[in-house]
Amino acid sequence: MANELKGAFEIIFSLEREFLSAVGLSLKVSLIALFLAAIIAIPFGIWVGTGKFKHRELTSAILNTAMSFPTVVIGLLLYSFFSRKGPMGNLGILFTPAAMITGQCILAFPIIAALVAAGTRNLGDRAILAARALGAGNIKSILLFLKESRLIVLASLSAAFGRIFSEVGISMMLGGNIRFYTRNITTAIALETSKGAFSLGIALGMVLMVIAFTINASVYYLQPKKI
Amino acid sequence: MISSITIEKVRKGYYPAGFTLVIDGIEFDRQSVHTLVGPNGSGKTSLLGLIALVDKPNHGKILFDEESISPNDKAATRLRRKIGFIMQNPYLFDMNVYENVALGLKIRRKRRGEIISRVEGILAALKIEHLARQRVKCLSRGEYQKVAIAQVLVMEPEVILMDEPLANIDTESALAIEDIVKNIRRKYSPIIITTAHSLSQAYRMRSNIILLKEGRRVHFASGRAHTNFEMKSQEVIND
Ligand SMILES: Nc1ncnc2c1ncn2[C@@H]1O[C@H](COP(=O)(O)OP(=O)(O)OP(=O)(O)O)[C@@H](O)[C@H]1O
Ligand SMILES: [Mg+2]
Repeated sequence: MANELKGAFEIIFSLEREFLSAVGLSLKVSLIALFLAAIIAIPFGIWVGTGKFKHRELTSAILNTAMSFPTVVIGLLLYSFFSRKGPMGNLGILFTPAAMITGQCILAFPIIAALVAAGTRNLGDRAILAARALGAGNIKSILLFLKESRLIVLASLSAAFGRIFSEVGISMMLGGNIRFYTRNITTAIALETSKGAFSLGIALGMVLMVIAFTINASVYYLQPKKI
Repeated sequence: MISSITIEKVRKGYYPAGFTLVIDGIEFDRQSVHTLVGPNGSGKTSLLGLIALVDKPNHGKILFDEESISPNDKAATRLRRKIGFIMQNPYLFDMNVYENVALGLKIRRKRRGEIISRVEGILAALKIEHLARQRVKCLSRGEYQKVAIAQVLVMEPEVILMDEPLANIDTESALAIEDIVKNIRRKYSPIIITTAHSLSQAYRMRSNIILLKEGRRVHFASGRAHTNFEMKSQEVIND
């Protein structure tokens, strides 16, 4: 084990191409997927949390359930869509980073939307009412409300990022783990481990944890604290 | 300058049915303070919400100088800027005290210099200057209430609605706030409507008293005729 650990550090500090490419792809795919999911999921979550419509409870129940969607099921569904005979086969994106992004996007969406909905449920009415009472128009009220809910939004983004950044099912099934192309941190670890070569796996695992930790820690430090 | 607000044949019920506010023919003018008095659940907050244009009656009209305005009208947004509403359970934004108090003035696009001097003035009058940079999440309950009061009074609105403004406020501060209100009246005499459980505060302000019970107006007394009224209204509250 000591040897593997030493090897892992060597890989990290020598910035091996194999290693860098996996880290780079993981970051790229997950950040793009997070961004794409967020621009729809945040407004949607706010709507579910604060809107007044008929099936609000049902919608939030569905979102909460979707939060625990297994990655392999998303992988399977999208695979059948993107495969050559599937309804979206002519896009030709199976086994490309685009397919991985699509899958992670779907994985992230309910997490962001459900957490934003839960967080804004009580806040929404009060903050918007207060903004209106102060004379704010519609747009200004929404902006003030968004500012109020920034920590809720941030926390939901970090939870979603943690999940998609560390998932393996979607990346493996839709990306295909192609070297220097769709091989990201998690699929590389899976492969290396199955080959019995632990050093690269350990190196990638450490980077995965460090990135995930950094993001959570920064969210934590952004919270205002009672002294 | 809005000089009167009239409640005309207003009904406001909630779902599931139970409580209904039924008010007709009350006029609020600038000549005196108006105090809505009544036990818990008598409809004081409901009535203020309608006047503040944050809530909509099921029937009837709220007239601002004879003009009927409903919350969804275009005119309502413009009018809301003239109304200051201190809610019973106020919500302050997650910023510091100064920023909260300045917020309404910023929304009204006042000049920076004017905002600074007005905010500093009201904080000093309420003796909370030392809290200017404190986040509102960390305030005591009474301090929080004072900030909510400052946030509204600083805008010098033409209509001031105060829902139990003195809840959680100590006696000395309550007198200070009453003085501020008196000064405001001397300065530009806005329409002021406030609520209370007890009559003593209403007497001190020589205010008109509108006694509500179960959503209906059961008594009215002008600020000039309090002494005869005192006993009677206390009876109504008690029974
Ligand atoms: N959004 C609502 N939905 C249902 N019922 C409501 C709602 N708001 C108020 N009510 C009911 O309307 C009645 C009047 O409430 P309101 O808040 O106007 O009373 P109040 O006179 O302000 O009482 P308090 O002195 O306790 O503040 C109460 O019985 C209350 O339960
Ligand atoms: Mg009330």
